[in-house]
Amino acid sequence: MTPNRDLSELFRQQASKVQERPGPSVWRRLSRRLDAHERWNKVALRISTQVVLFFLLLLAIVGPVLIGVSLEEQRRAELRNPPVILQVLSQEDTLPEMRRFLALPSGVAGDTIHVQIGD
Amino acid sequence: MSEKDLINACRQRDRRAQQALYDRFAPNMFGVCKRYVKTQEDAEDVLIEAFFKVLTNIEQYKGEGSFEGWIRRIVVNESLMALRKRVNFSQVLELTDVDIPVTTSALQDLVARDILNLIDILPIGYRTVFNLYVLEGYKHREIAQIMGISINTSKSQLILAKKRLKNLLEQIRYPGIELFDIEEEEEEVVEAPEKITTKP
Repeated sequence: MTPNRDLSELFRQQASKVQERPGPSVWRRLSRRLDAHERWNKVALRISTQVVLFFLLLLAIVGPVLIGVSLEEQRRAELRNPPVILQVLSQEDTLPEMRRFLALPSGVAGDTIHVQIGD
Repeated sequence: MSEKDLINACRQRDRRAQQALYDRFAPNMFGVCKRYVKTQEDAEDVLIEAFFKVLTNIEQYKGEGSFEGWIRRIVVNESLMALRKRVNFSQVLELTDVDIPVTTSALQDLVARDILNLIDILPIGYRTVFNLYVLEGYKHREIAQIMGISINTSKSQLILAKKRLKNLLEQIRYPGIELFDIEEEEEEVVEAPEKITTKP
């Protein structure tokens, strides 16, 4: 007998020897679980692929329509607000009617009216 | 098939390789499960859950350290999770300090079998700390973190577990038991004693 043997060591030695085969049903259950997991993975992959394809298709259909509508809107806006005609004013143009005309808004933000008085 | 080939085949979800891996490691790991959870059914459930995680997360094993050690960690974690579902360690440890009498006849039955079965007789707190520290090689700091207890509680549970085991070995007249040492071999940072609360 070895003096001062460590109790922990005794149990460690025993534990390393322990081998117990679980019943055959354990692998069957695990295998079924893995099958279910793989099936779910395939379904999830299929669903996510379909979702991505659906959005790509949606983009392919709706995108050009949206771009067309936007261009049409721009064109109509231009028709509604024709470019401001540059007026060359003379001394007589200081009439009240002409001043009212000049006070009209251009219709498009940022437009400027150049006013040239005299020669 | 070498271990590396087996792992690579399992990464390809090869079912035969998965079964081969299971056959190779399950007997050892089942022993680990049974040290933590008492019933055969619970141990089987834990083993299935652990191997399911091993086989579905095998990409995470980067080849650093032993593969068996990696599996063992998962099995121990699963066992502890199964225990935690039923037991709040921070609350039961105080209660388990009470000695549960064990009949000598029950112990005599164990003699011929395996002294490892004596661990099953221990209260759950002692058993878990003893398993983690002595058989899995965890530090008290890690055990405290895993079980939600203090380092000092972990240490005291270990000493009490060893005393109880020595006492049980004496009862079954294990040869040379009087020469066994139960002193803890490792010293760690001592922290303030934890206040243990129990539900009324």
